[in-house]
Amino acid sequence: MPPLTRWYVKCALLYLAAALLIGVGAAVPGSWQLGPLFARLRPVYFHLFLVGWVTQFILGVANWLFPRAGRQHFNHHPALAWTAFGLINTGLILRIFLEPTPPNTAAWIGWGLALSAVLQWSGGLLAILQLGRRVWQA
Amino acid sequence: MKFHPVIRWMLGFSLFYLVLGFTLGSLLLIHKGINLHPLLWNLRPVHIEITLWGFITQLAVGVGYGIFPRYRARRPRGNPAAHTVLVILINLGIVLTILGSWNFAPDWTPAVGAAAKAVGFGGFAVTLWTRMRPYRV
Repeated sequence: MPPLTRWYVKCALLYLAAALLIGVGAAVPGSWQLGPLFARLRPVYFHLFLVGWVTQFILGVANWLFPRAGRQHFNHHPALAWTAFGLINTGLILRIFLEPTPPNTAAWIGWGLALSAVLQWSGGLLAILQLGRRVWQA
Repeated sequence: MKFHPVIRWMLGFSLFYLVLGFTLGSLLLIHKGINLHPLLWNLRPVHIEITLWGFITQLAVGVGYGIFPRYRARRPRGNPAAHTVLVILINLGIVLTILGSWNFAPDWTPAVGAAAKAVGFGGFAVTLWTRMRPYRV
């Protein structure tokens, strides 16, 4: 298993665990007393599950198993593939911490969310460019 | 290793939808942070549709189609022409469902889109079902 795949899958499993914990927390009787917090955690919960777990698990396994043009490298540009991994995770972690804050707390939080979006988007695009090449060139 | 054309198209489409999913999701998150335009929230159902059906489901079915057991010497995965039609139906269905979420589209658009997706994914479900066998049988 290539190192990038191991990192993707390990992070995916950690995000899965975090999503499950939030799910348990939201289901515990009495957690409604924390109502607004759990309402604000809802988008974080979905994105921990779908971006953190599902998408990163898919990207990691695809990086491992998709056909390769040569036998030496999994990616034409390994540095870009690692950059994609870093951008997606930095963006997602930023989102996890900033999104549940109450609205209108501070202007920088809004800009932080925008930065998180740009990081995840650019990371996703880089990762897909690496994989797409392998789908079409195989 | 070379991908079967049906698999290649399904994986290609699913990665394309992932690009769209990341793009729309990022626009929504930026809007949440710094209020770009209120109409952007209308893209939320599109974001969900292309992520869940276009990316995740299509990728899972495409990978299953590629790696499930193949028993027949000729056409080991079944009829490729029929499966190509199913891929077209799936993606036509997704596009129609997206168009149907907007006001300008005719009323029948979401129903036809959902039906096309159902026939497309349903056809692949039948194909995958028939290719599942226990070991040593």
